[in-house]
Amino acid sequence: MKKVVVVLLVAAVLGSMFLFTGCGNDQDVTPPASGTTDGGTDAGTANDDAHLIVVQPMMPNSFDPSLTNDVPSARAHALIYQTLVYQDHNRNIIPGLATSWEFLDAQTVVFTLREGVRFHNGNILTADDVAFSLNRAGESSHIAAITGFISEAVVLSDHEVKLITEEPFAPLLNHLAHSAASIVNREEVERIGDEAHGQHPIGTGPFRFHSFTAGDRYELVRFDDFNSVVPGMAEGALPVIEHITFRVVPEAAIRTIELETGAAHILIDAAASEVARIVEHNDLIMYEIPNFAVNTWLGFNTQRAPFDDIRVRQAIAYAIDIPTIVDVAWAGLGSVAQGPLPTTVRGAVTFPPIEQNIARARELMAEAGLEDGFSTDIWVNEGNAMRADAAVMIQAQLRALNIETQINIYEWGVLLPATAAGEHGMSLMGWTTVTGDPDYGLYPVYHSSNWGEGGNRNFYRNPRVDELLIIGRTSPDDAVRMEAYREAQELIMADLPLIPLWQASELYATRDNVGGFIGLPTGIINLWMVYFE
Amino acid sequence: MYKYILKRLLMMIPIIIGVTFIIFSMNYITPGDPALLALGEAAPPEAVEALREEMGLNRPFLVQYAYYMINLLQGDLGLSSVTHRSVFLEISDRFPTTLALAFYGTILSVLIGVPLGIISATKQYSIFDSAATAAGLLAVSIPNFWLGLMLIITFSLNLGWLPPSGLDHPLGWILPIITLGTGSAALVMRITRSSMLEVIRQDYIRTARAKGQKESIIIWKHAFRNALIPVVTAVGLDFGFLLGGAVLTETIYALPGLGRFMVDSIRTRDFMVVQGGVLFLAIAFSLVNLAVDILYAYIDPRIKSQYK
Repeated sequence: MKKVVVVLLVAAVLGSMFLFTGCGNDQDVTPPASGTTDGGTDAGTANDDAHLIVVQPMMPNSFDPSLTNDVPSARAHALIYQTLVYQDHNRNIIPGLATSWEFLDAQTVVFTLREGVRFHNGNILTADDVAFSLNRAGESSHIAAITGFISEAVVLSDHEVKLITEEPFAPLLNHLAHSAASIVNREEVERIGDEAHGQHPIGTGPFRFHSFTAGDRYELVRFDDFNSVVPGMAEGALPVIEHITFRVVPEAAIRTIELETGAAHILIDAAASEVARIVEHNDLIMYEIPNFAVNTWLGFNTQRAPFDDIRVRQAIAYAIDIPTIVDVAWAGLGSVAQGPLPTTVRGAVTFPPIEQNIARARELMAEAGLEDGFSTDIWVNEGNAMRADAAVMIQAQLRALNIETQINIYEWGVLLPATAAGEHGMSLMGWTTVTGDPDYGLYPVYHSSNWGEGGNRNFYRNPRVDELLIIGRTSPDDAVRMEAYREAQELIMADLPLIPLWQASELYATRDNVGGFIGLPTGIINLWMVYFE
Repeated sequence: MYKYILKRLLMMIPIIIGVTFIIFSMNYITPGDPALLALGEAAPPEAVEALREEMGLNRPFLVQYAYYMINLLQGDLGLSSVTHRSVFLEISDRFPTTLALAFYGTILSVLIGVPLGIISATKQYSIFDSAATAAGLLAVSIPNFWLGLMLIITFSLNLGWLPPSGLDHPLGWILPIITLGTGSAALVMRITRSSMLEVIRQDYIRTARAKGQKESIIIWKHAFRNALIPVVTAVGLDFGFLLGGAVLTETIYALPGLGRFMVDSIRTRDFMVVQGGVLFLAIAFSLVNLAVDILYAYIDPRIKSQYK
């Protein structure tokens, strides 16, 4: 009898295991739809020839655009939702859900909306949806860096929305082209609430959400009633791909193997160590796309001695061999940064490289009264082996000036508040200009109102730079803006609150039968352009 | 026996309350601002402050803990500050994968470790014993991530027999289970061997042999059953550890398990998830221990009589 009980018990446990793992945790989109469904292709029946599998290192944090600002989420938002305007592949602002716009004054703009655009639940896009979405985005702390400028959005008519900003804000259109400013369906959000909307999103984009499995994957299917425009695709056209599965594969080497074995078609975030292997593979294509990031700079705490002396900062710039550091630490990928802004951003000024000159560096140290050197530290975030390697090389090269450097490697949770509090001497950090406008790349990092947590972790202050950055932020005249940014970048490079080191690239790879692949500097991929050859 | 089980279940309550207090305190004193990490370095300070307020991080420690416990008693583990999903959903979505992985890994370790341990003990100092000992040492020493990578390169990339990662196909379980079970199998083998060696030198085994009992009956009926207690203890503990400690295996094979999620949550200071996850694991660990104690009673009737 006991044996029978034991056998039954084991069978029950094993059965429950299969039940647990078999049922899985798929979150299907169907339940919340109160209106009509779009009638698009069901993921389960999608033609395999039109089923694209993408591997990436992380899951989106949320499918609701107002709840998060991470890149994997933005990648999903760009497919599910649309924005009022887009940036095309040449960084020009082009119409999206808005067909036109008119600035009434420096703080007010009226958008005219495209008519007849459908949400995935069948609802027609209205001005009310747009005003609701923008007001919601403006109130969200999660995306305040992108949409915090919004004061109020008001419905003027069925197809007109007036947007009012807190203060004159020149890069407004670039910010509205960011996926954080995506337009959601008011009825749906109010019906199911924010948390549920983050799991069952409804947008107007070319792909509709199908399902997700926490920590594992999410699936999108083509929205066959799509009747709007997205960059690169003709109005009225539909994507070729019918079904996309985004799988999370955290290990870079395994992502490459997934691509090599044909289990995936597109790989996002190839590791530097994998690039050579991908390039040598006959069936794979490697894409290296310069992005919007000066990924790493050597920053100085300019309010702390001896880095408050510009001669010391200049001496360090002359003492280090930047091309060698970049070449070794980043395995020849990306490029030496040429200024405070990445060259991909409009208005970026390129500066000649600072060449290593130890003799000049020693002279400057002597002028500063520090010929015997000093002791300091470099703070680096944990988990970034390339930055750690760069720190070791800088440490070794600064010994030529008798500077003893301690490398402090901390995880972000410790590093961010500590550098915001000015506990560091030097740091290896970086910044991404996610909107593609110089304001986003310069104002937080160099304006003195942003000392510490605001992004100016080098505690840099130059009243003229402050003035120029305000002009760039508020002037409606693009020529005036660009001139202000040119002068500001020159002053910044003269003051050297940081030494730009490395401009990063987005690293993608695809199988050789994937056509139409265009990766953007933002880390977003326009998968509506992709097809199988 | 039932009274004993009920007593043990009731004893779990203060343990769980203690666990919540300890993990809450640890989260509180851990450096790093959850609001800042949730919003990223580009977030304006006023947005970070607003989120801090929204998350209740500006309240005194005891007030925060009291709120947490009140919600917990109502079955609310809170929301993840990163994914904005219910912590209970986040955990319950991932726990089955971890549970299945730990379970199958443990089964594999028992299927390999127990027979090898018994044979090693009965053939002590033989070539088989030496080979098994060497293999066990190797299995314990091989890091999980290296073994996982080698298995993927061999069976997925070169031979194309098994999927490299994920659970799209049932065959996807094979490599993770081998990776996780190998080290545990070596542990089980060594414990089985030493426990068996101790038992087979007992007088009653000698008596059984003197009576002319068949060797297989002596080993399986008399020796093995008496050697089982330390083995069951080790397997139970190992299973408990695997529930929370399969992080590397989950990462290499891209399995959506609780271990990987917990590590990610610690990095992003997603304290609600960390607290909920630890609580979940503490309960699971306590239940596994209880199951092991109950098993003792079935293995050794003398222990059963002590369970009152």
